Order: sequence, then C-alpha cells, then structure tokens
Amino acid sequence: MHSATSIAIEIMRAHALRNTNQVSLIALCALAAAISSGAFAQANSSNNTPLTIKDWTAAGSGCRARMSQSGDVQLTGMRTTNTTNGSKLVILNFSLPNYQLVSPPQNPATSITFAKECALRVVADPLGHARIKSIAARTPVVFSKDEKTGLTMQYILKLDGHIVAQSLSEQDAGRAIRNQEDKVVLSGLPVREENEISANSCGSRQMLGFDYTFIAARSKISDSAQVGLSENKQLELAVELEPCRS
Amino acid sequence: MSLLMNSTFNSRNNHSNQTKHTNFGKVSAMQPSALTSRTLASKIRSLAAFLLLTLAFTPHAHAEELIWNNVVAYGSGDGSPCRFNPQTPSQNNVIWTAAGGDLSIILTNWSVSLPKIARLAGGKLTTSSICTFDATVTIPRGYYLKTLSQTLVTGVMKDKLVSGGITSNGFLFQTLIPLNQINMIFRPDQALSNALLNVNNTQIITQPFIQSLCQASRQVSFTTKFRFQLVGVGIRPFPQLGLQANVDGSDVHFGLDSSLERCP
Repeated sequence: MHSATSIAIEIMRAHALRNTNQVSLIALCALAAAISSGAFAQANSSNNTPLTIKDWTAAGSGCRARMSQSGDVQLTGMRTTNTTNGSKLVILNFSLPNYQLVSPPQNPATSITFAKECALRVVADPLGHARIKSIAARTPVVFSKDEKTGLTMQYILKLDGHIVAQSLSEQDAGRAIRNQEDKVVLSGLPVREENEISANSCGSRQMLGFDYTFIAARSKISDSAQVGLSENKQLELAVELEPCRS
Repeated sequence: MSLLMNSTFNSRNNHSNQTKHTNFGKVSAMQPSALTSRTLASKIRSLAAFLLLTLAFTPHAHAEELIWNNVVAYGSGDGSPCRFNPQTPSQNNVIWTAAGGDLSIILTNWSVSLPKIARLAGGKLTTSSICTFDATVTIPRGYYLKTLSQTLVTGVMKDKLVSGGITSNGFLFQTLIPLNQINMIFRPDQALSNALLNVNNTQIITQPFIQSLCQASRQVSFTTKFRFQLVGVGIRPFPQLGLQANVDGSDVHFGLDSSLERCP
C-alpha cells in the first residue's frame, strides 16, 4: 500500500477515535475524498516539490543532528503527491535508528526515573502562493517494561510554535509488558487567527515540530524498561499544501 | 536511499503516463469529427484546472519575516549550566531553530536537584539555575508584531514538601516589549514522579509599539533576551527530599510564535 494512503487512513482512524484534536471535518473530508478517489494510491510522485526544506534540527537527550551537521537522525526521503481536491501532500521521512530509552545496567548514578527525548524541528518554505492546510505524523514504536516499572510516552505535533496534536500513553506499574507495538498517528490544523491576512499564512516560512518523550519510572535500579521506534525506525511527517485564494 | 529511488521511479511513471496522454491528444486532433462538443468542454475544463493549479504553485516571493541573528546562550547558578556558542558547537546544550516569527529553544541537560546541590537560605535548602538566551532580531520595514504566544514544556520529578518551578522572562526589542512572564510552579503538596508540564501564554502587542514600528523609516534590529530560571526549594529537616527538574534526560522546550502583520 502506498505510504501516503496508509498515513491518511490511519489519520482517519485517529480522528474517528479522538474528538479532542481540534481538527475540522472539512480537512477530514478532503483527506477522505482523496483516499476514496484513489488519488493517493495512484498518486504520481514528483521531484517538483511545493515545499523547500531550509533547515532541520533534531535535539534532545536522545538524539542530536541537524541539516548541516550529521548525527544520529537523517532526512531520508521527501516526496510529493497530488490530491484530487487541488492540494498537494508532501511526505518527509526521518530516520531515527538510535533513538531509544533503555534502562541502563545497574548503575547507582542513574536515576530511578529517567527520560529520553528527541525534538525535531523543520523549517520549510511553501513555494508559490500556497499555505499549509493540515499536517500529520506517523511513527511506529515498540516498548517493554517490568512489572514494577511505569512508562510514559508522549508525542507532540507542532506547527509554528503551536501544539496542534498530542498523544499521551501511560503504562502504569502493575504488569509486565513485552514488545508491545503501537503505531502513533497525530494530525492537526494550523492555528489561524480571525481576520488573519494572507501574508501571514501564504508563502511564508513555517516551522514543523515533532517531540518524542519517553519516561521510565522504576521502583529500583534493577527494573528494566525499553522504548524505541519499530519497523524501519522512521518518523513520517505529512504536510498538506493548498493554493491560496487571495 | 531506497525512498529516493522510489520517488525517481514514480516520477518516471508519471512522465510515461503524460507521454501517452499527449499522444492520444494528437490522434484526436487529427480526427476532429470524433470530438464532440462535450469532450471539448471537458478538455477545456481540464486545461483550465491545470493552469490554475500551475499558477497556484509557481514560485512566489515569500512574505517578509523576522530574522534571528547573533544567538548566544549562557548559564549561571547551580546545577548544569546551559550553553550555546556557535564557535564551539560540540559543547552546546541549547539548540534553537527559527522560522520567521517562530522560535524554538530546547534546553538539554539543564536541571537542578535537591539536596545534591543546594544552599541554606531562610531555613530552607534552595538551588537554582539560570539560562539566558540572547539574539538580535530584525523586523522588516512596513511590518509590526501583532501577537506573541509562548509555550513551555518539561518533565519534572520531585518529592512531597519540595517546591520549585521554572520561570521565563523575556524582552523583545531590548525592553520595548516585555513578554508575559511564564510561571511553571511545582507545588509542595504532592510528589511528582514523572509529570509532564505544559504552560501556554498569549499576549497582544500594545498599540504605541506598533505605531513606532510602522513609522520607522528603515528596518529595525534590536537585542532580544529570554531568561529561564529553574528553582528548587526544600525544607532542611528532611535530608532525603529530592527535586529533579527536569526528569533525568528530559528537556525543557520553549516556543515563541509571533504573528507579523503588514502596517496599515
């Protein structure tokens, strides 16, 4: 199945499950129309991307890299698909092969409660008289923990400094979990002010963000916890661009 | 790499499909009698839609934006200091990214803990760390800032009877625009084992500053400063009391979103 299609389908599922994401039905209908028409499945990838990546940074206790400086996060792909509603979908693939939370060996210097974070920031210019209509992110994770360990996994999707979607998964102490997989899908809409003039949202530089936070709360130093990305250890960021009407 | 190759492959397919379509069109053009008015109208509609889409996505000048320059960050006080110096990137634990009016600052490995590092003040153990972020911001002529939104997110672990917090004070354009202070408070009445805290604040810029910006004869550059302070306070008779802010390995995320408007 085409990756964009799978993203969109899962976006739909996520929206169906959550009504608190501040997502309008209009954007969902647009995505649904694109899916039902088979536009994503038959979409033609293009190198003439309507989005230019000016810079990106991955930073935190669990990762470090930037566009101009190699590290343990890489931008591995970028492709564009057309949708039937006149918008374009740009999908960015980031690889995070080393980002994980692992309970370290018995080390008295390590805290009982500890975290690993990775925050990704992407600076992008929509080309032409276009603006971001919606954004989405998909990342597969796998986690394990001992019975007396609690795990908190938080994912935040940001656009222009605003949190547009977030997901919190809390696995309380009380039962052991082994290699449980979870596909995290977040989507949201830009926060637009009333009467916002087009210059603010059309053709202007945008900052996309995705934050991972994994926290392990152990009862003793020998308790174990492990969280990491599964499958191809990738984060997919999908940006839907629409032409400005003004 | 495989994805890039996949994109190239799809692109070739695209080109191939377009070629077929073009050939079909030529055949049709040589047999005008086969074209009904209905198909002609359909083709005109398709062509119009294609032209509109092409126009919509053709390169276009970007809106004017804030420019962030000369960024440094430095720390003081207890705990692990913060640092950003472009000359020594390997030692930096402050990472910043800006996109016009949007600024993202991530403070990694910036924390205080009790009672490891603490001083006795007023019968209480206190510890604090300050991180100062300086930058030069240039606003294009003919534009003003309308609103500012700040976000602060971090993880906290602390025992009961330990209080503390993170505050953020900022000024845009030297002291002309004081940002609303953000207070993230860790109350002493409950323990926090792995709390993720999030504070947001939005403010509207005052009219006199808008007027002064809009009447400027050239673009304006000013020093801008953010000052983050992390404080922990514990009561002395309880030596086991502990505050770790943030959670070991968790980062402090600060975001600023400023909307730029064209002067009336």
